[in-house]
Amino acid sequence: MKSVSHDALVVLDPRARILCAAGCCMATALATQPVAVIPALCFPLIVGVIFRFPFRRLSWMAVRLNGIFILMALTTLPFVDGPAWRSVGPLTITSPGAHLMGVMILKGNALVLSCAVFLSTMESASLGHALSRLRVPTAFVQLLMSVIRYIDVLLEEHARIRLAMRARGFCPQFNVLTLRTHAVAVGALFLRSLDRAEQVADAMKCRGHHGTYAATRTLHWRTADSVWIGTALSVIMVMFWLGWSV
Amino acid sequence: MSSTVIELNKVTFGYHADRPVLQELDWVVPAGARVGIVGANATGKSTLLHICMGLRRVQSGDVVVYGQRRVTERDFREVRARMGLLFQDSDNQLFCPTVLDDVAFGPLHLGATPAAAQTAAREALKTVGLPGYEERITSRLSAGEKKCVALATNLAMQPDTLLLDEPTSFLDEPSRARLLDVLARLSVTLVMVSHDHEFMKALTTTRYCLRDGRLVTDG
Ligand SMILES: Nc1ncnc2c1ncn2[C@@H]1O[C@H](COP(=O)(O)OP(=O)(O)OP(=O)(O)O)[C@@H](O)[C@H]1O
Ligand SMILES: [Mg+2]
Repeated sequence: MKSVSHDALVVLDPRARILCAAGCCMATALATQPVAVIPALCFPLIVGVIFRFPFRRLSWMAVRLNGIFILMALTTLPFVDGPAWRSVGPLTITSPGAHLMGVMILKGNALVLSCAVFLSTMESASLGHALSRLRVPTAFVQLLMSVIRYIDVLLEEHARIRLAMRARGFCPQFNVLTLRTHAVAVGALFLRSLDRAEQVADAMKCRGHHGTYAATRTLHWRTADSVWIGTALSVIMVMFWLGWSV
Repeated sequence: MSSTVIELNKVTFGYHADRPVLQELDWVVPAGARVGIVGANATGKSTLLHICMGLRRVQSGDVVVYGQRRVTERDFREVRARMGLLFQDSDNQLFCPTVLDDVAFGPLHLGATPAAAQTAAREALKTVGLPGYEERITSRLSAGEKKCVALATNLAMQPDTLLLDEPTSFLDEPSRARLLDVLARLSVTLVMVSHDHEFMKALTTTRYCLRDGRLVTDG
C-alpha cells in the first residue's frame, strides 16, 4: 500500500522481504539460548530504522503482547522442575523456568518484529504475487489471501455497524441492553461480512480473476535485494553460532 | 460475433426453493442493442444481471451468452472477459486499497502487462472524469465517486457488452450528464436497469418491465 502507509521498504523486492522474514522466523524458532535470539531482534530493528518503519504504531501492540507473554510465563513457570533461582513471594522461580521465560519473551518479540518490519507494510497483492513466484502452493496462497481480505472486510463492516448504532443513539453502558446490543452487533458483523466477502468474490470474478494473483507492480530483483538476503543469512549464521557456543 | 449477445430460455431462479424470483423467463438481447429494464423493488432486476454474468446459477432453463450455452464457472470466464457489470452497490465492486490498483485489476487479470494495465486504468479514469484519483483510497471515496470508479473498472477492460445496475444513483447533475455522454458514445451492447426514466429514455431503444418473474415489453 504505497500511498497508504508510506512503505519505504517497497524498494526491496517482495520476495526478498518474505525470504528475510521467513529466515529470521525459522532461525528464531530453532534457537534454544536467549542470547542466540538477540541478533534476530537487532536485525529487523536496524532494517526498520534504515527504512523508517513506523515503530510508533507498533509500540502499543508490543506493550500488550509482552504483557501477555509475561502473564503466560508467570502462570507456567512455577510448574517447571529444577533448582530454585529466585523466590518472589509464594512463587519460586526455578532456573530452567527463568531460562525458558527469557527465551519465550525474546523469541516472541523477535518473531513479531521480523514479521512487522518485513511484511506488515506490504501490499497484500504483492504478497500473494511474490509467494506464488516463490513457488508456494497455490492453494496456500489463495487461503492466505482470502484471510487477509476477510480481515479488511470485517474491520470495514465493524466500522459501519458501529456508526449506524451510534447514529441511532446507542452509547455503551454497563447494563444488559448494552450487552445484548453488542451480541446483536457481533452477529450482524459476521453475517454481513460473509455476504460482503461473497459479493467481493463475485466482483473479482467479473474482472477476470480465477485464482492467480497478478500484482500491479512487476517484480524486479536488484543487487540491494541480494545484499539484504546476504545480511539476513549472516545474522542467521551468527544466531546458530551463538546457540552452539553458549 | 454472433448476432445475439444474451438469450435466456425459460429461466427459473430463486434464492429459496419456495420463493422463485424469476419464473420461466425468456429474453433475447441482440448484439448492439440498447435495452432498458424497469421494475418495482425486489422484483429481481439485479438478480437477472447477475445470472447473465454467471454469478448465480439458474435452477432450470438455458443461459446462452455469446452464442453458447453457459453452465459451469469455466463457461462464464470468457463471458466475463467481454461483458462488464456495474454493481448496484459500488462497495461490493471495489476491493483494492487504491483506485489505480482497483481499475488496473481487470486488465491485469486479462493478461495485460502491469504498465499497459496502468495506462488503461488512467485512460478509464479520465473518461469517467476522475483524472488524478489514482492514488486515492477506494474505501474513503464518496458514493458518487465510487460509482464512477466502479464504471472505470469496467471501461478499463474494454467490454463489448455493458450491464449497468442503477448507473445514475448517487450522481450529481454534471456527473450524470458526463455518464450519459460517455455511454452514448460507446459502441457496446447496453443493458441498463434504472429508476431514472429520463436517463433510460435518452440511452435505450428497447424497454422491458420485470414483473412477476417475467420480462414484458414496456412501451
Ligand atoms: N443473496 C441473496 N440471498 C437471498 N435472497 C436474496 C439475495 N439477493 C436478493 N435476494 C432476494 O431476491 C429478490 C430480488 O432481489 P434483487 O436484488 O434482484 O431485486 P431488484 O429488482 O434489483 O431490486 P431493487 O430495485 O431494490 O434493486 C429480493 O426479494 C431479495 O430479497
Ligand atoms: Mg437491484
